[in-house]
Amino acid sequence: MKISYNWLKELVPLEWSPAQLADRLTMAGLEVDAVYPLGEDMPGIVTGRITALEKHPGADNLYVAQVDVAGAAPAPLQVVTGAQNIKVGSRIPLALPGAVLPGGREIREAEFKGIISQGMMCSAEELGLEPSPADEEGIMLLPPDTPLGEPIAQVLGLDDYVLELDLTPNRGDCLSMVGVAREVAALTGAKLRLPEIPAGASDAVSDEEEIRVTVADPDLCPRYTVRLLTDIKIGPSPLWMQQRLRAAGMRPINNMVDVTNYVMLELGQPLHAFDRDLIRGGEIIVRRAEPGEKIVTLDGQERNLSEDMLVIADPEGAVGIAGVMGGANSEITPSTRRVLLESACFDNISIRKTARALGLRSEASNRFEKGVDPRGTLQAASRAAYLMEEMGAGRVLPLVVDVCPREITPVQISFKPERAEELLGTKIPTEEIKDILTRLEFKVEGTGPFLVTVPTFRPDVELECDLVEEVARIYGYDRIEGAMLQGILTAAEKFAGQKLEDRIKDLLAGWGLSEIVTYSFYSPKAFDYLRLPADHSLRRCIPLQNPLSEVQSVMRTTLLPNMIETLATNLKHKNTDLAFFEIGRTYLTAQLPLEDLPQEPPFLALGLAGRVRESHWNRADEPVDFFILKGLVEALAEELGLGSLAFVPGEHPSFHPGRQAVLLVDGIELGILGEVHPDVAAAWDVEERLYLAEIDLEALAGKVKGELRYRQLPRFPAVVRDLAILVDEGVTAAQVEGVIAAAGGELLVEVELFDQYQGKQIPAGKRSLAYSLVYRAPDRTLTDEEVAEVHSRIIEALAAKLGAVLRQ
Amino acid sequence: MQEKLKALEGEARGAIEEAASLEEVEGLRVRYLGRKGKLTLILRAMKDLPAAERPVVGKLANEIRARLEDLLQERRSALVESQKEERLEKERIDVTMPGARPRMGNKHPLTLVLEEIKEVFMGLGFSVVEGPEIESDYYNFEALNLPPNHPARDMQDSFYITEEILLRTHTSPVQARTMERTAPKVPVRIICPGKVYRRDADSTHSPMFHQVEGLVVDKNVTLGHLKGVLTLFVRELFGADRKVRFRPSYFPFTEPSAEVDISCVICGGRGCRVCSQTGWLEILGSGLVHPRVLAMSGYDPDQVSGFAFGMGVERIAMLKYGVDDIRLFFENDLRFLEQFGRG
Repeated sequence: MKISYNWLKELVPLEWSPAQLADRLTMAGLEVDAVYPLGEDMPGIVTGRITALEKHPGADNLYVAQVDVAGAAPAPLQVVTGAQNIKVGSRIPLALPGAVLPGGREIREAEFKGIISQGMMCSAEELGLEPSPADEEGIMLLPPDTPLGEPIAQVLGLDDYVLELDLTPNRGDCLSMVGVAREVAALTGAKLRLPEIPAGASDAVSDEEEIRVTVADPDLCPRYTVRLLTDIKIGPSPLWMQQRLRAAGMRPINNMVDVTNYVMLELGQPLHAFDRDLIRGGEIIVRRAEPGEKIVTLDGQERNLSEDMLVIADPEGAVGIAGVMGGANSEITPSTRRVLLESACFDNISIRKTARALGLRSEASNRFEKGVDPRGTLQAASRAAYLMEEMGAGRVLPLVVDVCPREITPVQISFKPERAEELLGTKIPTEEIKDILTRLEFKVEGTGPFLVTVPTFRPDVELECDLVEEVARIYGYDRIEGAMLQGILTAAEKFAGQKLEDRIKDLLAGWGLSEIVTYSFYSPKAFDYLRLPADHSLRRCIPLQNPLSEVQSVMRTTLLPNMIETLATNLKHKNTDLAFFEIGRTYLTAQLPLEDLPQEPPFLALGLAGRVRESHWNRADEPVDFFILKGLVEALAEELGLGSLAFVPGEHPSFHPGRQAVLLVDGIELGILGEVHPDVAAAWDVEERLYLAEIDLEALAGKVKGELRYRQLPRFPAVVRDLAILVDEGVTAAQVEGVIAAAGGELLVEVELFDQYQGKQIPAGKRSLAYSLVYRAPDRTLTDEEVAEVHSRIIEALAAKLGAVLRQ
Repeated sequence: MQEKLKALEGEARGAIEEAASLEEVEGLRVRYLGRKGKLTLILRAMKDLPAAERPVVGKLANEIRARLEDLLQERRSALVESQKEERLEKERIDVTMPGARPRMGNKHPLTLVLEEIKEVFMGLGFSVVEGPEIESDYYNFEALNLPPNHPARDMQDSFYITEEILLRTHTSPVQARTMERTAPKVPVRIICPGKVYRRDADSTHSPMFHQVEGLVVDKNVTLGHLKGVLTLFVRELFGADRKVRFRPSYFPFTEPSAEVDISCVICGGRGCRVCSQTGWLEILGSGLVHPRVLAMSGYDPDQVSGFAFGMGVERIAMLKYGVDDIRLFFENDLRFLEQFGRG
């Protein structure tokens, strides 16, 4: 809502500057987004009258005019123009030499084919104004009573300020000048100066006035009021009205349209004007649309109506969509003789739904959606009718049709003034409470608890706490004293998962990984990119009904696509050495379409590419590989105190078939890690090798060991023996270590692989593995014999179980 | 004989002083003091001397040996020292060349802001709780006093999954869930961080973003408490001299409601583009919990009251770090992320 500062000053005495006003309104809950001068100053542009007009002797399409600018110049000025819409006697805006137009163009004395021009006549557009249809013909024509030689900004009312209100949806009442003026009055204590509206109703009804109104669906139309005008003369509205419309951001059209808009801005009540002679049968019927009913609206579009939409109809069919847009079949035209003015109150939810369904949201529908005052319809209709009469646009007929199917009863609230202190923590004197409410036009009766009657233009006030807010906002939130919490101390806790996540973030960031945050939705194509077979469980994703786009249309079931996407984007940006992690939820359901809320288990994703470290002048480049990734997972498991880890070759379709492992802790599957399958990388346009891991944090949380316990330091020395063996290629390190551990028994305390070899030195199809074994007893120093015995038992077991041969 | 000894000492001294390596020093020791060395040979000839002279010569010879041995040792030490010096000199490096740093990782800027927020509120006894992101219409709207067709539902255009299930548009449903779980016990002091979703995408709106919700329910909680706690929070986060103002606003689930503004972090309140010339930035929505919300969650609004607040983490991060496009948070360009490296 745009508020004209000058207009507001007419409605309520106001001593604040526009900026002060903006601040006070904002602090009372009517947020002002911006304050700006309506028009530029435009010095040197004055009003003038054309006293003579002749064709230019040297150019067919130019005229030479003499312009009287009264005191603004010593003598009439000679102006050369190409304008077609002026004649002797026209009053026009004239830019004198030296004037600067809005937009920066400077006007100078100039010569056109031998004739000096001492200025320029201006169009509305050149003055920075939204042109009305009449203005579009050329030079802006001012009314015949316009004083001469006056600054144009003043004549047009451009010496004004506009305040842009960003209203909260509960304050529909402030979508009007009077509503805002009422707020100002409540803040300052000044009295409102409301426009005087003649009642003008009469029982005398002539045939000409015969009109009936039937509200068939009173649930959607609490009130419908009609006034009639005859002897209609369509023309432009007066300049002052045009300017107020412009200040509010509306385009002047003609006197009929402008008055309805003006009254809507003034009182907040949307109005609609029908051509009375196009209402067939002299009857208005307010009803729900019929099945399959259609109407062509004012904008020329045919609209399909549904049965929950309210229409204004005559006995032969719809003539308008209630509160949203009129029909073309009853539109005002230059030949309109009689006008039916509608001022109604419609159900806000119905209007909101209709306007949304049709994609037709207007100033009018916006006000109906927020709720208009059911007690204000007659006033608004009369206000508009008499304004039209006043400006010579028609003659008001005395008839008033006012259908109000149900009695309008204002809300009453019992209000204990001490409740204000209970909720605010600051005492506001009872008298001041009463005073504030009264200034806001609430009726306050009684003393103990007040009985407060809520004005019908404030449907948002229903409860005692609403009244407390009314009091507090006018009293001033800044006058309420801040206090610290009191009462029982509570222990601040994080939920278990949060602690784990925080710990993981600290560790991984410390190890050189950067955390990423990605969208929870992606394209269903991601599953194809991941090479998931058609029946794969990860494809069972939750789709959005109304996504912004296909690429954000399903909820993620795995973090892998987000991680690959992030790596791919970074590689595209020439960030080559990447180490990322993300902790985020996935959204899993056993059943689609969704009937219950799904599971949202959190996962950890790791993603690596490029080199382990940035290149350095005296270090060799080290590319990331599977074991760098695995090392991270192992280190994380150790830091978190997980149980015993195992990595077994995996079969995930998104990974390299020979370079992936399933992570098991105590035999429970926690995740997958490996090199991304080249086809998957290619789907994201990546040629580099990518390494990814994805770990189920909920499952992992269950494997975190409890408290740390101290173990006694070893008191006896250890004996270290190396062991190098040859085994078949297919034998894994895990198998070898399993045999060593089983055969080594309690005296074997550590097994570490320190070398792996395949190549010319050993037979084809074999691999050499070299281990360092540490032996120790907790209670004595081991003898060479004891160690030798265990060691050879291990060698025998390796030979027996895996066909291993000792390398010398 | 004595003359010979003195001559020998003179010769040996000269040779030792000129020795340039430890090998040479050792050679000289053998040559003069070794079993077949010159001094030894001279001493062997002592038996030919008269008995009276022998002690004198013997003493002299021993003195010379001791002096030469000292001299040799001195020379050796000098040589070792100078070799060390030489080695150290050779090992000189250009210390201005770049170091080999450990790889730096860092938490996401949104995590950093969230951690700061959590720290402040945990210090005030608030616990951190979570709730589902895919939420029922009931908890997202109805339990928060937003019945179907409530005009305020327009304020937050939602992503729907079914008629009844949607992506939560705010973290406020966690309020309702927490109260339902806790009622009628007090006090409740929680914050709930998390992802929320709205159908909106431009440089200041993201279809997914993060909020932190806060809730206090207790006996005698007032708007004054809300002001006290949130003023403290804002000053912890944005500095002690930050100006704070509370102005009336509207949220369906609070009454009275307050928007919290801080003096602009860019211009300090003089007015600039970021604050639309107002000098103020909106940072938080808040208010006393609406009595209907309390009642729906099982509390008696005549017995207890509460306040709630909600803030956008991205917005705070943008203001704190001067980030001008919300999409940067989700593009995860390493060059962006690395700027927040303080682990």
